[in-house]
Amino acid sequence: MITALLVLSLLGALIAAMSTDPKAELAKRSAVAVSLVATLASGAMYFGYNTVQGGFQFVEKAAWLPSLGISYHVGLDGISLPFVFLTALLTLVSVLASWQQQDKSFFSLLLVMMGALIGVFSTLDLILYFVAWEIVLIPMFFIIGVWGYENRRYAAIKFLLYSLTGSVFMLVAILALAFQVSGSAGIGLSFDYETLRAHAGVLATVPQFAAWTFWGFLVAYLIKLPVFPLHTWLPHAHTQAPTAGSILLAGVLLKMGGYSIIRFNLGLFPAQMHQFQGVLAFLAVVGIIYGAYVAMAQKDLKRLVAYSSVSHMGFVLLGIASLTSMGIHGAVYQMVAHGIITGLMFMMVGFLANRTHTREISAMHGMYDAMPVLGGLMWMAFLGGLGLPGLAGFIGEFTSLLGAVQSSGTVWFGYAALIGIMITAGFILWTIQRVLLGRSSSEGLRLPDLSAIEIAAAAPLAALAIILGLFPPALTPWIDSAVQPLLTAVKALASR
Amino acid sequence: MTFSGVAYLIPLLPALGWLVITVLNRAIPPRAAAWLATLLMATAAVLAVGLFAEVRDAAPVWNSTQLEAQYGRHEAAAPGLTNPALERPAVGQFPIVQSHDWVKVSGQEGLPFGFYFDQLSAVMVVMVTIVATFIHLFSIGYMAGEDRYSTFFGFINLFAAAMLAMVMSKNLFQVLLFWEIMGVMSYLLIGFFYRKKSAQQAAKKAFLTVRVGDLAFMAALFWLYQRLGTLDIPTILAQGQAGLLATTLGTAATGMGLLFLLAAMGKSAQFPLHVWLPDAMEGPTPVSAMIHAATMVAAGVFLLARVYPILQAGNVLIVVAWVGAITALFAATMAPAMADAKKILAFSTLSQLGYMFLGLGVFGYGAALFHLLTHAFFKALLFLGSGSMIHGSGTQDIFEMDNLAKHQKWTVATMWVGALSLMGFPLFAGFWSKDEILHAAQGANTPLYVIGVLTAVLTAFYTTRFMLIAFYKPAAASPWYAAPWNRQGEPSLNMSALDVAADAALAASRGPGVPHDQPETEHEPRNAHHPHESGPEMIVALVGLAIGSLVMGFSGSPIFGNWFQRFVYAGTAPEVVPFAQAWSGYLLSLVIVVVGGGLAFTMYRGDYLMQRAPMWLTRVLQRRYYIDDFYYGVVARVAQSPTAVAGWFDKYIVDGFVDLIGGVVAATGELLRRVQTGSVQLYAWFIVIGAAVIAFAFSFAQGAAK
Repeated sequence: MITALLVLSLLGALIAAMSTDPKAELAKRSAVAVSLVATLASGAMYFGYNTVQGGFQFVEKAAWLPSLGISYHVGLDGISLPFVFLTALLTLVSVLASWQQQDKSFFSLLLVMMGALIGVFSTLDLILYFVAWEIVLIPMFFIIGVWGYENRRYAAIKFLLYSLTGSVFMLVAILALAFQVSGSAGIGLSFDYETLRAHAGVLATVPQFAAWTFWGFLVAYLIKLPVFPLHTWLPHAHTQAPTAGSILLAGVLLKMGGYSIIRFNLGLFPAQMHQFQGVLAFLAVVGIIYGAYVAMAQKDLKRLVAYSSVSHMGFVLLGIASLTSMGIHGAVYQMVAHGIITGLMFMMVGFLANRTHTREISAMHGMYDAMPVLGGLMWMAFLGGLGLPGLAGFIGEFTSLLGAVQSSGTVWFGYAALIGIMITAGFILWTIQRVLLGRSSSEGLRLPDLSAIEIAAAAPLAALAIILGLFPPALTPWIDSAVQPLLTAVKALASR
Repeated sequence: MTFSGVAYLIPLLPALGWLVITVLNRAIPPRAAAWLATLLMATAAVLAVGLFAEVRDAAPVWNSTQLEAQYGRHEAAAPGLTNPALERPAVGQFPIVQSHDWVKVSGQEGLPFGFYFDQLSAVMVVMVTIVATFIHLFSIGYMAGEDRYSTFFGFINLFAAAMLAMVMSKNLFQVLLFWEIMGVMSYLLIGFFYRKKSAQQAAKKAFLTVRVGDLAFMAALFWLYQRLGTLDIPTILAQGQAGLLATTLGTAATGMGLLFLLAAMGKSAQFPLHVWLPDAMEGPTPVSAMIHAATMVAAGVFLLARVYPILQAGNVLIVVAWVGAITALFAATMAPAMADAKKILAFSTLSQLGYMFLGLGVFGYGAALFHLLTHAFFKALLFLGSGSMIHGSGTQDIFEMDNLAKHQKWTVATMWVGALSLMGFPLFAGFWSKDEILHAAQGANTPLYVIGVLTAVLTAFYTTRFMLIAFYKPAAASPWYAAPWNRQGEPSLNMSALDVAADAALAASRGPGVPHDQPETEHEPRNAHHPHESGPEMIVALVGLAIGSLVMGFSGSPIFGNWFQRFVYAGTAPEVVPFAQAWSGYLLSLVIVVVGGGLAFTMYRGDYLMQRAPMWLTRVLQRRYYIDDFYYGVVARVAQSPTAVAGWFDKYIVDGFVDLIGGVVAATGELLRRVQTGSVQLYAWFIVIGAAVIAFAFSFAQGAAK
């Protein structure tokens, strides 16, 4: 099933790339069809997953390069499944949101990216995972660099170089880890996640090495998430990326970082996770508060949303750093919620910028008056961004902080993060007031409101934001099934 | 079918109304949307009454005569449900609990979702649905002609749904969830006239001020969950009744209690978080009636009643009492200086909420909730009545209203019911409940009691002033809208120079001649119309609430053996104040009304007091003791002061550093390109130097490893 999804993405990308019609109708259609099928298929897997049994399901495993310990191994569990679904869905809405785009390569690249992202979340072999991780960069680099706004080249290169820097650390860490584990445990060289995890206990004898490797993985993820002070690629990339790029960047690419911290740093290095808990929680809280203040200072609407992401991702890191099941629930919930809500935010900001031809906040006002549907949805998305109850973000924020105060190592960070919530409320309400409220100018009133296809792109996100805001049982059992096994090692450490 | 079995419909029906109206917005005619919303609310009210009847039948009943004998004043007791003072124990499964998994986390309780029906929630549900139904009905006429007519009904429907779901919550997390949904609906409704700058500012101010309390609420819940491992209301109440909380929470109970108090102070607009409520009058009048008088602001009182055992275990009640007393008096002093009908009522709301806090704080649990109930009716009535006055006269300034009593027979009659109730005139609803609170305060703490009495005198004074000037005086130029300190209008919460730029852009886009922030009333200006009575829906709503304001008071009066208090007491309150009032108390109430009202009557018979009152006093009162100015000028500035620094730091230091590294790498590359000279000797040198560096690094690393 997973393999089929991967093949399907690449096939769709190929069809899109080969299409010849000038308006890219075929490319668009194949992009919609492929991402729709992927959404339905991943939805089917999501609901087909047995949460009672837990563990990796839909596993496919085949030898690939046995002499090097590399295999084709894919599978999904309760924390990767939501992201696979999110990837497919956000690709679908991104395609719909880019309907005026007439460049077939654009759609082809979107599908390549979807495939690579599904790969990141589903591969259980570290080399395969690394390859997928790197492939993700390429389409995003082109999407920003070719179809972006005025400063796109600078932003694209910064995005690429920054990410590659992290990847180098991760690659070294992957190699070092595999060699160390196979050597110490006396097994053949293997990059298989489950094998490494089963033998991760041998790292206890080499704490220095384990700590370095831990940070090797972590640096890549902290850049991706992003965490202060490694976040500055994000505002450039977000601001310059076209709408589809911003949606996927915020919706899924950042989640690669959070997902991977849970999967690899927590899964393979529970002792180091425990050791550096305070450092991570500190970085998280700085990100939450600092990100919110910097967001408040922005004059560019897309940059403002980008910095709000920095703040929101702090909750993810804080939840993980708490090392409590409530906190990690919160982290995963927050990631999914952020993907949906910030995806919607970027979509609306993109639609708005396409109409007004500016992203300057001071150049916009009365947009709700001018375009009630666009304005209403944007209003909702922004309120979702401030953690409004009834929308998904609230549950993520609340549970991650609730988890943080349960752990003696992070309790004060949990309370301190509340300051960030206050500042976020301040800058979001202020932005709503500046952009949406007031009486529209006469040019404003001539702007067209959302088209049917734009509404179709926004509707699933708006609906999901409300569903996950009021009905967490749609997500928590999945998270729970994956988090519990991860925490057994941590609990043993804490009680020791 | 039992009513408790379908109780989920009570919040669900109005929530559905919101969904239908929002999704179909323009597809249904506005009037149909309005009637749909109203009928759904009325259906919810019917279900609520049924639910109430079920709870009443199942609830234990206190025996009033035994009670008096059993408990002295403030004597601790543990009235479990098997208490001998009960005339009748609870019947069957009471309180009624329904629970479902929600946020489920293995190994801990997580956050379940459910409903909990005890006396408190039953009373609240009935009060909210009935008052809300009348307000919906009133709005059908009042909001006619607004361009977002359907949206308005969607919003108030969702608002009511959130309030109902909140009072029915089984879990404190759920209380927070709906509490905040209510908060955002209040934000959207205060800012309903979103084109007006003042409405935008008021909405933002309300949200942010209340948010301070919300964060305290969250912190309290985090702490509570960490200590108790649960946020389940029945569990907390049971622990409280068994006297366990003081031991399980220890001193943390004080901290939590203070945090809960702060949360309630934000929502119920208690000093010093009261500043948002008078400004919230920027919303349409029915909103003021519903949210800022009858229901939402009562949520703070509800919360304190819910966590009463924690407040008690932490000895926070005395703080609650003082916060309430200070707010009650403080707000009552500002009301006489106002000219805007809605502002006068807003300050009276602050003051009355202060009474409720005072009541809770002096162990008058039943008295406070009784006042909450009666206040909901008479304050909704007063607000809707003022709406009718504004509707009929075209102005919000009581001085500009022209002998309204002549033109609005129904309005004036119902307004008198509300006003007499607010003043505490014998036999009107507010009389019984306010007397209960004063009675409880009298026994607890003399200074608190004196403040309560003083406030009551002031209340009678400003209410009489309001009625006299608005209804029985010819229109006059408002004496002090022209005062220099009001001429520049409200201070605006400009968050930076950008706001100013946005305003300038806005003004420029409108072209000359249209000042962008003209004070606007909700309806057409006065000269555009002739004073008249309001339409039938509005009259029906007023009469309905007037009947409520007359009847509700009897439920807790000694005539019916203080039935209301006995009913709610059996739920939670572990300590008891005897109910039966002394005749001296009633006499005092009458004296208060005569003194306060008489004072107003003599002062406003001729010309107006404020022209004779010292200028500095008028100024201080109208500027609301400069507290709002302090928040704008100092607190808001300090809170956002890091913004510019953070923005600069991020751009030039953090990102600048990254670019610097990038630059260095690029420059190195450039340098290395030049190094590619082709000279073999040079390359040989590089190899030697490189090898030396590597060797050094290795030895260093080995040294470090050892």
